[in-house]
Amino acid sequence: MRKRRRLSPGALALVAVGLGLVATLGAGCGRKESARLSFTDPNPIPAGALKREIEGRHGGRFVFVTIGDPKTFNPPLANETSSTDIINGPLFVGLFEYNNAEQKTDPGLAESWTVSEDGLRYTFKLRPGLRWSDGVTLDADDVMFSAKVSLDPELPGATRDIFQSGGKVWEFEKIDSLTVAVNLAAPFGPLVDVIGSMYIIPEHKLAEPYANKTFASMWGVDTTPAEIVTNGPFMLKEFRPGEKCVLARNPHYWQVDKKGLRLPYLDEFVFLIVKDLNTMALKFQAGETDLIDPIVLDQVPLFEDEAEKGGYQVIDLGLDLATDFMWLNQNPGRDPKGVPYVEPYKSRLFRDVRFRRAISHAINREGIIKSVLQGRGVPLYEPYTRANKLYFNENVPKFPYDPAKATALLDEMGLVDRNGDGVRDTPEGKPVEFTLHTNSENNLRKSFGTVISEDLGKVGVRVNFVPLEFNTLITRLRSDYRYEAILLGLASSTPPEAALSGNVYRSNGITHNWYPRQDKPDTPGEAEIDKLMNQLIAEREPAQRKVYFDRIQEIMGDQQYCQYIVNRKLFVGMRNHVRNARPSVIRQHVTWNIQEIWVDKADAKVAAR
Amino acid sequence: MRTYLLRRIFTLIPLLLGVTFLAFLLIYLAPGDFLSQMAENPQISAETIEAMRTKFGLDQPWYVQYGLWLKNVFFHLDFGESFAFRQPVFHVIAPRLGNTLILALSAAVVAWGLAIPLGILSAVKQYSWRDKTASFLAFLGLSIPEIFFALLMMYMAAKTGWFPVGGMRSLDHDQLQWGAQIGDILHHLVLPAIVLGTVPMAGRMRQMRANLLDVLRLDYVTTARAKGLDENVVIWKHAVRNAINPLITLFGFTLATLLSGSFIVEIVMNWPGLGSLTLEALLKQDLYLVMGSVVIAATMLVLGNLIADVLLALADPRIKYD
Repeated sequence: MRKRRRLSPGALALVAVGLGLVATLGAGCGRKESARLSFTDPNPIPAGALKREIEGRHGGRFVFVTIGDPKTFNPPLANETSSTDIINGPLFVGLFEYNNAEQKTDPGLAESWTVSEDGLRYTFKLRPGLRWSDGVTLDADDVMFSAKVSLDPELPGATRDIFQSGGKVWEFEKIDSLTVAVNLAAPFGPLVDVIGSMYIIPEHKLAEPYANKTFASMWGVDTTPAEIVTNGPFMLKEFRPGEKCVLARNPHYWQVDKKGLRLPYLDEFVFLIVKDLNTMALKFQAGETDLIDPIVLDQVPLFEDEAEKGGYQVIDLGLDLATDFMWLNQNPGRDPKGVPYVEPYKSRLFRDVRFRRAISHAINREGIIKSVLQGRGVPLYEPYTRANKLYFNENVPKFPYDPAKATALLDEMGLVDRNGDGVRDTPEGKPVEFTLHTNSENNLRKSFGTVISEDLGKVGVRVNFVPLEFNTLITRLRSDYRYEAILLGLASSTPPEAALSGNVYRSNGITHNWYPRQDKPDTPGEAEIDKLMNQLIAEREPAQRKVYFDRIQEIMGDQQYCQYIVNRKLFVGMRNHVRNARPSVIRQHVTWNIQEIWVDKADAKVAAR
Repeated sequence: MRTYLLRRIFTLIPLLLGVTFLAFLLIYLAPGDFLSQMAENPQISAETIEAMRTKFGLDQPWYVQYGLWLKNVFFHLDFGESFAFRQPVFHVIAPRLGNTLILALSAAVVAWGLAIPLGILSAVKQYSWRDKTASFLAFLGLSIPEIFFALLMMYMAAKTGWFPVGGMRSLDHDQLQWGAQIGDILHHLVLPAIVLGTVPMAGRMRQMRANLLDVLRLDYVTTARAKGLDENVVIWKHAVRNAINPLITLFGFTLATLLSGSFIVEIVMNWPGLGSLTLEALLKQDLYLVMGSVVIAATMLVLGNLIADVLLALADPRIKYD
C-alpha cells in the first residue's frame, strides 16, 4: 500500500527527447548558403540592347518583403499592389520605363518615338532583336495584341479609362514588325508618359486563350512558373502561397551594363510574404530581408538606434507624394426618396467658401506635425506636394492656422454662440457642428482627426469624430453620399502626372470627392478647372501643362474645396550591402531600378550573418 | 457503429446549410463589397466598376446569389471562384489547408504530449514541488495572451538567432536534401507549435490532474493496491485508463479549436495557413473564398468531434453507439 514507487517518467522523457530532436535537426540546416556559379550568358545580346552606365557584380539575391500574396500573374488583370509590385517592372515592362529618381520617362522596349505636327499620331519604334524570356521574338504583333487586350471593354482594368481622348479610345496600328502607330481623336499631351503603363504581353502564349474567352483565368497564381513568359529583368521561378514568390534572372533581358554584360545583376529577387508588421520589422532587424519599405513613422527612431548594429541604414526619402486632406460634403443633391444628402442648414455652411476658409484657419497643422508625426512632415496647402518635381506650386493661396481669422470669418457669417454652450449657432439657432469620418485602419489619420476636432472646438465648431471601417466609408462616399465630412488621403499615380488626375479635379469625376459626378460645374471655380483640365490634357509641353495645373491648384487653394492637412516624410530601411540603389519617393521606392541593383557579398555584415 | 457514423455524416448537411447561410447573410450585411476598394482608385471609372459588378453577379439580390451558389455546390460540387485570385476556391485553399493541419496537429502533439504526462505526474505527486511547478506553469500558460506570447517568441528568435523569425521554410529550402527539408520545416514549426499548444496544454493538464485525483480516491483503486498490485499497474492500467475518458472527448473538440485558433498565430508568426488567407478574404469581402473557408472549418469541427466519439468507443468498452 505504501509502496508508491517512483512513476516511470518514460512518456515525459520521450516528449522532451522528441522536442529536442526537432530543435537540433532544424538548427543543423537552414543557414547553408547554396553554391553560387559565376555568371555566364548563353544567349546573344539583342542588337538594340539598352546600355546603362553602371557597374556591378553578378550573383546573389535581394529579399524584399511584402504584406500580401500576389493574386494573379496576368498583367492586365492585376489591380492591387501585392500583385503589381511583382508584375510591374520585375516581370513585365511597357514601351517606356519611368525613372523614379529623375521623375521622367525613359525609353523601354521602344527605343524612340515621333509625333505628328497635330499631335494626333504617334509612332513608336521597337528595339531590334528583343526576345521573350522563352527566347521567342518580341515584335509589333505583341504590342498590337497587348493593346487589344488592355483596351477590351470586357476585361476590367484602368487602362481603357486612361487611354482615350476626345471621347474616343486610342487606336493602335501596326506599320511593320518593329513599328507601331497610335492614332488619337484629340491630342493627349502626356501620351508617352502614360503609354508605358500598358504592359506588353506575349501574343504567342496568350492569343489563343484570349480568342477562347479563357483569358481571365490565365496565369493565375497556380500556373506552372515556366508558362509565364516575361519581358522584364526577371521571370517567375517559384510561388508558394503565403510564403514567398521567387523571381529568377530573365536570360533574354534586353539591358546591359557599362561593360556590355547583360542585366540584371541579381540571380534572384525574392518577395517574402509577411502578414504582420511587427514580424516584418523583426525579420529585417534579424537580417533576413534586405529592405523595409516604408518604416512606420513612429518606429523610425527605433530603427535608427539599431541601424549600425544591424548593418543597415535608415534612408530619409524626404516628403511623400501622398497627401492627407479633409473635405466637407458640398453635394446639394437629394437621394431617390427626396431626402437631402446633407441637412440644408449645414449644406449652406459647407457650400460657403468663408466657412471652408475658417475651417482651414482653425486647423493647427504645425501642432499635428509636432504631436502626431514628431516633426516628420510639413504643413500642406497644395494638391500636389513638394515631392512632385514638375507640378509643385509654391504660390497656392494658403489659409494657415490663425484662430483669430477663423473667428472673424465665422462671426461675419452670423455664426455666434447664442445659448452659451460653447458652440456657435446659426441665426435660426441650430448648432454649427458636423461629423467627421476617416478610415479606422489608419492610426495616423485617427490621430489627425482627433487633433482637428479639438482645434475646431476651440473656435466654436463642434466636430464629432467617428472613424469608420474602410468599406463603410467608401460606400458613404461613393454611393449614398450620406456624410458630412471625411478625412482621407490620396496616393500618387506613377508617373505623378496631373493629366491622370482627371477624375479628381473634373466636376463630373467619380473621385471629385466633395461633390462628385456633377452634370454641369457647380461653381465658377470648378467650371474653370474643367476648362483648364481639358487644355492640360491636350498640351504636349510639360512646362505649359504646369502653367495650367498651377492655376488649378490656385483655384483649389482659394476655394478650399478640400482642406489639405499634412505632407508626411517617408523612410525606408536598407541593408548596407545593397549597391546601385537610387531611392526615390515614388513607389517602388528602392526597387524601381532592380535590374541595376546588386548585393555586395564581401560586405562584412553579410558575412557575419 | 457504421449506422452511427453514417448518421453523423448526414447531420453535416443541415449544419453546413445553416452555417453557410449565416455566413452569406453576414457578409452581405457588411457594408460594401469586393469592388468597393477599387472604387477608391481615381483611375478606374464608375462604368468599369459597374461592369465588373455585373460580371461577378454582385448586382443580384443576396438570396439569388446564395441560391446560385448552393445550386452549384449541390449539382456540380463547384464552390465558386475567388474574385481576387480568379481561381476555383479550393485551388486557393488546398495548399493553405495542408499547412494549417501540420501546425494544428503539431500543436496538438505538444499540448497532449505534455499535458497528459505532466497531469499524471502532478496528480500522483500531489503537493510536491513538481506538482507546484507544473501547476504554476499551467496557470502561466492559461493566462498569457496568445498574441503576446507569439510576439515574445518572435522577439526571442530575432535576438538569439536560434530559430527563424516566422515562416515555414527557409529561402534555401529547395536546394536541400529531402531529410534536411523536413528538418527545415520542423525547425520553423517549433515556436508556432509551442505557442499554439500552450493554452490547450495548460487546460488539459489541469483536467488530467483533477480527473486522476478523483479516480485515485475511488474504492477499486484502493482494492487494487490492497491486493498488492505494482503501483505502476495501478496507476497506468486501472486509474489512468478511467481518468482519461473525458479528455478523449475533449480531444476532437481541441482539434477543431486548434484549427480555428491558429489564425492569430499564423498571422503573427507568418505561417502560410488558412488563417491569414481567410482574414484577407474577409477584409476584401472575397465572398466565395470566405464561404469555402467556412465550409472547411465547419467540416473540421464535425470531423473532430466524430474522431473523438470513435476514440472514446475504442478506449471505453462500456460505450456503444447503436
